[in-house]
Amino acid sequence: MPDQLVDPSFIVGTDNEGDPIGSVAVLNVGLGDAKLTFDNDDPGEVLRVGQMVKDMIRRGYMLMVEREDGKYERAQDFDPETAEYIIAGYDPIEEDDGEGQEKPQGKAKTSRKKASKKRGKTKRVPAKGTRAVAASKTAGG
Amino acid sequence: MPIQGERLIVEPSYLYADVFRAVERDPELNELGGEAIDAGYRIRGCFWSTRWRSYVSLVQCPDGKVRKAFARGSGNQVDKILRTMGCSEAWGLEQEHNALQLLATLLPHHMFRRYLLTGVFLETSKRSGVVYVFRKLRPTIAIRPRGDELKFLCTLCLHPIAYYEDSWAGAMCPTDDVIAHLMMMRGDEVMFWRRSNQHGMDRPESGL
Repeated sequence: MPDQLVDPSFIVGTDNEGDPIGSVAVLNVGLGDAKLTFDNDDPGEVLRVGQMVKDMIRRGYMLMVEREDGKYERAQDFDPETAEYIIAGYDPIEEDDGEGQEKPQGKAKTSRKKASKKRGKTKRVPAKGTRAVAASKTAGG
Repeated sequence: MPIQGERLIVEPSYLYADVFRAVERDPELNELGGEAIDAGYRIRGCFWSTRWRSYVSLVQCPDGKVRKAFARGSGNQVDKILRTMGCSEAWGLEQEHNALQLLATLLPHHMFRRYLLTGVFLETSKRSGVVYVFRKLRPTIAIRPRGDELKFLCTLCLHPIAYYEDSWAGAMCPTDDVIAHLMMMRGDEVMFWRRSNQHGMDRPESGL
């Protein structure tokens, strides 16, 4: 039984400075999955790939971005100028973090107001060093 | 990839949807369970019968009476299994290999090993606590654990881009479909449920 099940060439490496390279794995038909990488050493390439990613999101592709804590979130948009994913800020998991703690009486409405205020915010995640997976619109099943 | 004799259900806004629709079954065919029926008969409706575990069609006969009819083989999954196997002509080994490599980077080693050996692996949603059973070429099973008991919710079926009618085959290779299910569950579970077709455990589409 081989210890290594993953082809090393499939794991995205690092650039010349040792920083991880961001990548987007695009699920596809025909020739199979495609991989887009944000080459940190080539700003022109980063811009070109960024525009492709933005076009994919505009066409309805679902882009799931891996955050630093290992969780995934869907990207709502992409900024090709800054090479950042734009993610909706509201996260039910973060809102539940304080669920187990006792709250002083009369504060329940305040926490609900805070949650509703958070829904309008967005977060920006740099594409550099971030892994994402893109899938096309679904046809049912 | 279109396959002669198999109808490909394509997401309408997909870029090459018109190209895929060029190869379809004859829409003029009057079908009942995949077989043509004589002229003069008209299908008035169709529903699932839990009692008979089969789809029942209501057929209006030339004498005006409406009678029930059971589509041949509608109570079992053999037809679906064979059709899915036939649709494998649309996939390439290299595409499946690439998808496996990608899945390996998304799963812990022991889970990927289980998938390689059994075609199945589990993951619990951090958001809802629902346990998802991801299966190759079958809909994903959603389970809610309640203490020592398991409550089966439903099976979730969806395919990016397109799928072949009356089968579990999608336009992409099988592991790509699994990756799509996994990533949608992780990234936007609400949308995963919204976009999926939800099949009950007793339906033949559930693959159970």
